[in-house]
Amino acid sequence: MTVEQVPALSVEGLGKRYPTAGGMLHAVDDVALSIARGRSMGLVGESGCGKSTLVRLVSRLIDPSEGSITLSGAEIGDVPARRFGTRPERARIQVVFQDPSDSLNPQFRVFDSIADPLRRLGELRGRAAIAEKVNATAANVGLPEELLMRYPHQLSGGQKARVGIARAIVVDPEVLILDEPTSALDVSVQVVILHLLADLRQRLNMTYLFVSHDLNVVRLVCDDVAVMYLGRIVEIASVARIFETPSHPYTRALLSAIPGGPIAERIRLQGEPRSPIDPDPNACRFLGRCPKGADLCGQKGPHLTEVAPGQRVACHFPTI
Amino acid sequence: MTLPAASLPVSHASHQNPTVEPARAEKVALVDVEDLSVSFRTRDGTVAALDRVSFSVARGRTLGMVGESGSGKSVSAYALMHLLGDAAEVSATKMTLAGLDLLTARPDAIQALRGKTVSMIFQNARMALNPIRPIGLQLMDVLRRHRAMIKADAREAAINALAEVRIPDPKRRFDAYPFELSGGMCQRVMIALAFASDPEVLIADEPTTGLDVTTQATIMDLIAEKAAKRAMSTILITHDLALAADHCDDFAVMHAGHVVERCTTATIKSAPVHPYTSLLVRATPTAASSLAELSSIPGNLPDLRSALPSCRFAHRCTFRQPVCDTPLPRVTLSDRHIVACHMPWKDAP
Repeated sequence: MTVEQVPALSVEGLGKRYPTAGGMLHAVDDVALSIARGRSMGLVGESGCGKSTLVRLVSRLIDPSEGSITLSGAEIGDVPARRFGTRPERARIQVVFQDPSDSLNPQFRVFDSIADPLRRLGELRGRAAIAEKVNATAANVGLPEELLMRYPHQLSGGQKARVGIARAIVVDPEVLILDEPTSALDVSVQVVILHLLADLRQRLNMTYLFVSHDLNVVRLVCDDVAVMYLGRIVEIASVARIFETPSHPYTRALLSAIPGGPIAERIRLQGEPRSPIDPDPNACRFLGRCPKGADLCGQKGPHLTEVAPGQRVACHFPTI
Repeated sequence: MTLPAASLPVSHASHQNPTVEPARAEKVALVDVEDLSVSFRTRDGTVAALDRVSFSVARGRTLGMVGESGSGKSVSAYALMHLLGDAAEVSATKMTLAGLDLLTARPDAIQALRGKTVSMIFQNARMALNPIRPIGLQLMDVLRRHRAMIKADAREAAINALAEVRIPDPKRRFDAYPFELSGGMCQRVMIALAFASDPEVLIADEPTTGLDVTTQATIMDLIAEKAAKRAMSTILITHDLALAADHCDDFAVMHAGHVVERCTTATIKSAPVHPYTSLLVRATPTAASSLAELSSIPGNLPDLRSALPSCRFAHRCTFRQPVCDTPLPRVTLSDRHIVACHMPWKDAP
């Protein structure tokens, strides 16, 4: 196997459970995905489906209950999260957080926000070297130099988004996790940031895990999509396949709910989501809201199965 | 002067309220606003938030008010509801709401209208709800005040109202405080409150922002269903052009305190003529087939505290001409199509 074939990011059997008063809450359950170097994978699903937990696991901010996380073939899942921050791998996987207004330190000037990860993680020593790298990164994301001495409250939403991206890429990561990077922005600004992200990925050969609730944005910036429901991945395929031949009933409902979306069929989910606390291992998590639910779905939980080349679906009755 | 064709796909969920006979719907404007101007005095100078804004909504129809943040969408709604504070200076040549002339009406007449005939869904539901009162009691307050129900009836009606907006286990949630509910559930409570008084006019300010698409679809269906059943007039304020195109009959596109274009949804989808409208359409991801097709809008909104030119879009506009510095015209292209531009793009395909 050559180096090219080792995925940049790969997770296998990943799970995270939290103890609650009512039992174990399965936030992420048996998740497997891998992203090849230079590719961009979208992660979509409703709030509460485990997207954010998965992001925090993969970016090593919290520890998994089970499973493995590998970065270019090297295991990083077994390093405790509290020690991961000082490891050299920390620089190789970075996160752009959701709301740039909330995730920037209000007391840091832009320059220091970008320089901080460099000082902590980078191999650069000396003020001149760090300043040079910060300036180069700011130029890379289109931040004018005169903004570097400003505080976050003196910036517009789009400028703050650029700072959030700059400080993530300043340590030259291989994998960038983007957690709803444009959801707080107006469409006019969103366009600019999406173009910037696409351009950076190409120029710096980065690998993206792109979390978003906006399927239209995912369609435009990602190569593949993983659809999550209640802690599990229910469908994973290329963007074209997900949008042209969505197979899982939940994916179909999700697409039909997008204004001006690709599915003419009008699917509205009825009923309540099942509880994530001690879920029945022998039942499909979507049962109860699923328009196709049958007896079999309550007796045997479906596993991801290939229904077409490059399209895997966890459903007993996939649409093909 | 040509722009590439900009269009939103014609959507399946688009609805025209079938229960309203057109003749009646066309005639009665439940909301009619002409030349509404609002300015705020602040320490840093006067903010000209709205400048001669006009819009109207006929009975049973839905108006989509769209534009970037800061374009004056919410201020228009607040002005209409008489909810702006003393710092606001409001003027208009005409402002009627559900038959009441707001320019001459006494405050108590407006108060009687508000929350009963006219309801508003506020943007941030968790902030808009009373944090120290259970949601069921908040609903009962509205029902008892506006529908004169006795306690027991109001309680039952409140539980039904919660069930109607798909709140799971409404009997138990009746006693919940807003902080115990998710953002989406607070939003649904807000909608239940707005509908509790059975309004004729609904002003929905970003009713589904921050909700999942699946919840958003359910809530928009609910608003559409109510609107059809009661021939309710709705103003949907949103920054989501695709959502508005799915649910509205008419559009008012706002930019920096101006209504730059008023037209039907069909026009927005096929042939908007104001340069800002077409740029907004082409910045919306729904229609684009690739990222390259998605184009940005140059420049930023002007600072509304400064001296403003007659056309507030001119500095961002690629079609700017010397004539653009003269007073802004209001060009009527057809019965339902008005544009505030010297150079409307008339050659639209």
